[in-house]
Amino acid sequence: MTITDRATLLAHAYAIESEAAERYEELASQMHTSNNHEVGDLFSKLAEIEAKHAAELSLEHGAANVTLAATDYSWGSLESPEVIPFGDVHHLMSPRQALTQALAAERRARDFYEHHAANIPEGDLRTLATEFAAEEAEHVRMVQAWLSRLDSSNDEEREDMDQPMPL
Amino acid sequence: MSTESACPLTARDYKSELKPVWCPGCGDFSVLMAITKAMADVGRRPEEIAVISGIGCSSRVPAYTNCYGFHGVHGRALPLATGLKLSRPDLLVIAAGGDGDGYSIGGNHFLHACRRNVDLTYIVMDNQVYGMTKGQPSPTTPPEWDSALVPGGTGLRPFHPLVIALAAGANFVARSFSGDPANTAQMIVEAIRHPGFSLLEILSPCVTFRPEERDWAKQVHPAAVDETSDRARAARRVLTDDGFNTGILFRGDRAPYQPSVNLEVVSSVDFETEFQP
Repeated sequence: MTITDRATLLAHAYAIESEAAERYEELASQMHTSNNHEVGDLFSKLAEIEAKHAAELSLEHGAANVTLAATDYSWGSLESPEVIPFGDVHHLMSPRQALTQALAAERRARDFYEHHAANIPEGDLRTLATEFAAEEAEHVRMVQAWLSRLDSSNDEEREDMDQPMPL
Repeated sequence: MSTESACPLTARDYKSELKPVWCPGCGDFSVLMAITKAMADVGRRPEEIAVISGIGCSSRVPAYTNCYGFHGVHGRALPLATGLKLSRPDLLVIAAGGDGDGYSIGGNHFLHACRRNVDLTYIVMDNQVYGMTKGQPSPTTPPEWDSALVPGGTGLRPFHPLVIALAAGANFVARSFSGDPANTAQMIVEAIRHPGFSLLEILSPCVTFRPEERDWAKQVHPAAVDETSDRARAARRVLTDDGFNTGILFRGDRAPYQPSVNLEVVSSVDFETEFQP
C-alpha cells in the first residue's frame, strides 16, 4: 500500500503513537502485577513518551481527528509497528531485554515512515513522512543511549521465586 | 431496547479496574483487548452485555470487563450463558473460557450449545494446556507433547472443536490468533452479529507451560479460501487444514432457538425465603 494523502498519513501516525502508548501502559501494568517494578517503571516512562508524541501530533497536525476504518490501516504486520507484541515479554525480563524490545519497536516505526517516504512523490506529503521518520530515528538514538548507560546489573533476568513445575 | 450509545464508547469503557494476573506474554491479554474493542464496535452499553465463564486462566475475563459477569463453575459457562440468554434475550451474551474448561469437563455442554443454537457467542482461548493448574494436557494438546506430567506425551488424538461444532450445529465458526488483535476484534464483532451460536476459537499461547507456542505467530495464516455456508464443505476444510488457518470458516443460516418466555417475576426477597430454615 502506498500512502497518497495527508489524512491517511496522519491517521497512521496517530495510531502508531497512541497504540504504542497504550501498549506500554498495559505492559507496565503487567510487570507491576508480576512484581517486576523496575521494568514496569521503564515501560511507564516509555508510555509517557509515546503519549506525549501522540499529543504533539494532535496539536500540530490535528491527527487525533483523523481516523480510518480498522481495515484501512495498512501495517504490513499483525499490529502497528511501534507496539511490542504481547507475546514478546515475560515477567522475569531484565531492563536490558525490555529496552532491546523497545529499540526494535522504534526501529520498526522509523522503517515504516522511511518506506512510505521513499514511495511518495516529492512534495509536502513526502516532507511530512520524512519528518516523522526523523523523529522516530531520534527515538531510536534515545533508546540506544539508554541501553549504553545500563550496567551489567541490568542484564540479569530476575530469579523466579515461584517456578512452574519443571517440564 | 435501544442498543446505540449517545456518544461512541471506546474499548476503555468496557475494562474494569481490576488488573489481569495472567503471566506477561500470555495471549489472553490480547484477546481481552480484542473483546473490549469488539464491544465498542458493536456499540452495546456495558449494562447490556453479560460475560459468562467457567474456570481457568482465560475464564477470568468477566472480572476484567465492567459488563455484567458470572464466573461460574468448571465447564459450565455454556449452560449458564444459555439460561441467561433464554430468560433475558435482550442481553448480548458472551461466554468465554479455555480449551480445558470448554472441551473437557464442559464438552457435553459444548455439543448441546451448538445443537441448541441459542444466540450467543462463545470465545475459546485455546492454548492446548491446562495453565492454571500447572500444565496438564488438555483435550486439544498434541499427542506427542512431552512434559514431566505426561512423559512421552499422551499419545491421544486431540479433540477437534471446529469440526465437532460444525457437526453439532453451530451457526458460525471461526478461528483467529491472539497476536492479531485487530482481526480478532473484527471476528468477535462478526460472531456477535451473526444470529445463533457462534464459536470463535482463538489460538492463544501459554508462554509459561507451552513456550514453544510463541512460534504460532509464524505459523498462522489467513484461510486460503472464502467462508462458506456449506456445513459439509466447511467440515472437510477444517478437518484437513493445518490448524493454523484463520478467518471465518462457516456462516450458517439456522434460525436461533429462542422460545417465547413468559417468566413470572420473582423478587430476590421471595427467592431468598426459599433457602431460609
